[in-house]
Amino acid sequence: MLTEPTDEQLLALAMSGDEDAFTALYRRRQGPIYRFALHMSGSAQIAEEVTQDVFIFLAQRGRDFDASRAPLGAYLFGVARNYVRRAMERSFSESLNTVAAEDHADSLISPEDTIEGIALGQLSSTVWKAVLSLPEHYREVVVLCDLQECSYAEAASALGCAIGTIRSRLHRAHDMLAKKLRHSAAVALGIPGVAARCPS
Amino acid sequence: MICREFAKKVEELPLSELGQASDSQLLAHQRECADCAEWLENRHVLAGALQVLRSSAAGLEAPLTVEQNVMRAFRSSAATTPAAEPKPAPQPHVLAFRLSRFFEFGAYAAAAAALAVALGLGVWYWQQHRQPGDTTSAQQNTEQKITTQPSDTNRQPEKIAEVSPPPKPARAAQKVSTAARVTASEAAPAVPILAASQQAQGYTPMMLCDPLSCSGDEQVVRMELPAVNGAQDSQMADVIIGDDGLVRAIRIVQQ
Repeated sequence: MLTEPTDEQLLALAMSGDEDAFTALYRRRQGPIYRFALHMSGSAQIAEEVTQDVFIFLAQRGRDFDASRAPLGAYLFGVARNYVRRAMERSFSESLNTVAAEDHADSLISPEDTIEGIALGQLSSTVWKAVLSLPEHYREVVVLCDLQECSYAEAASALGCAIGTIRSRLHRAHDMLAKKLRHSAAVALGIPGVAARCPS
Repeated sequence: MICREFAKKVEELPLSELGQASDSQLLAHQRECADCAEWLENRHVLAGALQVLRSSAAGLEAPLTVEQNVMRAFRSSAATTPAAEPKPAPQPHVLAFRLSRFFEFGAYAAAAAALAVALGLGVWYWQQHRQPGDTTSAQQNTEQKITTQPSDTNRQPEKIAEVSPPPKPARAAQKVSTAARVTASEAAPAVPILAASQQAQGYTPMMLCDPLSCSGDEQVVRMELPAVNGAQDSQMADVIIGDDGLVRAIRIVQQ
């Protein structure tokens, strides 16, 4: 039985000029990188740009990758994080994010969706907006650990910090998210008292 | 379990695994504490909401144009970068190779070298222990010489110093345990003196002292002896001090 080559093996082959290996690596890893960038920025355009930049960077600088320091997946998330930050700084995205996220979140609901599907789409867009409104260092741990299902160790490698830091940031981010969602629910249900108590 | 411990344990679990928590202590605390139960319930709701967001974005991928751009960049970078040279077959480490050669052939050489060193040390040790005997014979020769040439016995230390090596600082003089006062101007230069000739020069050897050797670092110091039994005139003496600071011989100077 043939086993699939690891990311690191594919990269080694790609760096020796094997285009098929690089294609396989790209197809395996582009989805998570694209979704990470999308969840972080709220913009499909930025997500595409970041995905492209990350893999071009890998094609050009893949030889510098050191497998003893971090797995390739975490390394790519770390590179993507830097590109996302740069792209967001460039486009003043803190204020534009919400609009873009709303645009994209609305696209999650298609006309063919059932009521349940629409409700789920609305819920996911609400959650997404709440995630996007988090400060950046809380947002990235939520995106990595909760949405990309990275382990704490992988997230720590990608973000270049200790596992304990990831854990405490995640705890704080969950508290903030819960508060934001409670507030959103209160607003949606028209409960002014709860909304007033949660000014976030 | 207290609430803080409960929160800490829950924190350690990823959000997606909260529903599968089977820790009996967690469950027991959850039953007992309404606040913690509510807090955990909120976390379950949050986990569900994030699960919805995750699954709604699960199929999202970069468009095909991105892949085309990336592959174009890969080809151009592969064209500009020289192809990786095939790695040479791994060579045994130089040090390991040398060590193995040493243990193969060098062990005999090492044993032979150790034997030679041991022999050399033995000879040197034997010679070191033979020296006192030689010194004794040298002393006997000197005594004979003194007996035949009595005029030499009156030579002053200063005269002997002309043929002796240059004197070293009088550090040993500080160690002399005597109440005598040493006048620096009267201190004579250091002179190595043969043990056998000390008596011939009028020196009285001190008891229980090792004989001085030719290569020793002795000093002759002229010093004023303290007055004894109420005598008013002090007495001058030449004292031979060994390199260990002990007085070896003394000669009363007739003023």
